Amino acid sequence: MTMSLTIERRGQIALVRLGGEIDLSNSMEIRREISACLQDRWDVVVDLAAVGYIDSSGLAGLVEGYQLAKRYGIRFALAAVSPAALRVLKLARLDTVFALFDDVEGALAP
Amino acid sequence: MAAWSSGHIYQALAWAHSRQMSDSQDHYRRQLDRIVEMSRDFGASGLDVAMRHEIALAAEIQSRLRSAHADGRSPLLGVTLPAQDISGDFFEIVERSDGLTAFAIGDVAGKGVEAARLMALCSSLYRQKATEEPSPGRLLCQMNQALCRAGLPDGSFVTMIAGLFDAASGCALLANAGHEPALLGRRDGRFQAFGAAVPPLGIAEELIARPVPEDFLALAGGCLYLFTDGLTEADGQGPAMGEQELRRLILDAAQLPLALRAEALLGRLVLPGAAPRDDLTLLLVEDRRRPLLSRRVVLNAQGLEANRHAVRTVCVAAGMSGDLQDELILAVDEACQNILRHGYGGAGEVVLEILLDGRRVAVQLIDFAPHVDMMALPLRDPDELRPGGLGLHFIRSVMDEVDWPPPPPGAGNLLRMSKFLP
Repeated sequence: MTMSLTIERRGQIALVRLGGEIDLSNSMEIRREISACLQDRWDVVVDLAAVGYIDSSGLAGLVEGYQLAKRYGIRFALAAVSPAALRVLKLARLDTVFALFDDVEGALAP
Repeated sequence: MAAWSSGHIYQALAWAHSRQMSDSQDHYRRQLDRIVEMSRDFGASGLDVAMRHEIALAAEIQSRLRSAHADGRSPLLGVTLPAQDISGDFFEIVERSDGLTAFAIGDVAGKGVEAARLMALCSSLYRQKATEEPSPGRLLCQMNQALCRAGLPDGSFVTMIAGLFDAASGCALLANAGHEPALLGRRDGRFQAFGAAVPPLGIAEELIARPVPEDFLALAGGCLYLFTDGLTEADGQGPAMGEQELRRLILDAAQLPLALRAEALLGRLVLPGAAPRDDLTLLLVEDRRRPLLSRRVVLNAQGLEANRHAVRTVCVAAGMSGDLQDELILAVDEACQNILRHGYGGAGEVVLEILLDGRRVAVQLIDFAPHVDMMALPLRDPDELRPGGLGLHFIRSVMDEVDWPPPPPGAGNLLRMSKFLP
């Protein structure tokens, strides 16, 4: 499966870079990684620039991240959302829920 | 005492009578009446002459009735060419009240009047059961029981395939008891054979004590060919047709309309005007839909990407816009995901088809999981923020029509969704 996931630490922020196709076969892994960062109380920025496809199970992982961050009182943001991912976010009316940034640098800025 | 009595002829004729077209009803009723009169007039000594007459008449009726199916409208067509006056081969096509078409082909071991008597018995048994029993496998089991209890002469048996066809979905269910394999001629030129799962009917009740195992077929725009062994049995006289030659002929004739195709196949064995060396029966079941994609796979989460790729490929080939491709892919992917998660709990077989019907692109997705009443599920409010449950919302958002009609026989669930092209 052509999904990529990397995590970089930038100060207090975990920058999660996702790429490729996100679906039922790999969304659990993404959920696990994002929750682990949040449970360690890192702010999380998810870079979606290289996402070619994301399904409802992938979105569910992002929603879970949003809810956890809210509970812990920390930041959870999406950055550089690709057109493919934005289309699905809009379908789910989640584009108004998440903090969206045009680029990663904007999301990382204090 | 001849095994073939007038009673049997009446039975055969009554059976024939019950199935003919309404516009020729009077004609057949007159013929039936004539036979009844004849039987009164002849004494025992005259019965042979009368019977010959009756048999010839029955054969004529049989052939006329059967050709009546060749009206070009039905996707099913049967043809019998009896080697003798009347055939031990039979085929049946029964339109059921649920919209499905039951069909059968059979071959009674032996020739002549005894075989014809058994044929008539099988035909009437089948017609009686086919309207009530949807499962071809259970139907064959019941027929075996009935035939065994009726007490066939030693050495007699019946090979038979029973099937159920759903023209709307292009799917069929088949059960085969001792008969030649049914051949599915696919649109890509390949063949798939469906052989017998149990011995022939009428030998012993315990041989088919349980429903005959069934094969689920997605015809995918192809055609199912059922035939009796007269078609492929070599007898060393003249141009016997082997199975390879039959396949080649089918390929050659694949583009012809149904009736011409049947004629082309039979024409290779029978010279015009000559009687065939053996009874010949051919039954064709055609899926007239033309799916752009027909994909039958055991799917799991890892297989979803290849599934999306297959959908993309046909969308591109059909010249659909990028947006439309994305929407169809999302809808298909979410639907498959629902089946894997809620139907199979992991992995399972699906049949995915995509059709272009004028300005409408239609998706048909069949699974074999336990039936789920999707219409009874509450619609998710997309403003309610929680993980999960989004898939169905996506499907309804991107497609114009979404429906879960009754699945074809043998399947668990059927999802149909479509989108009108701009």
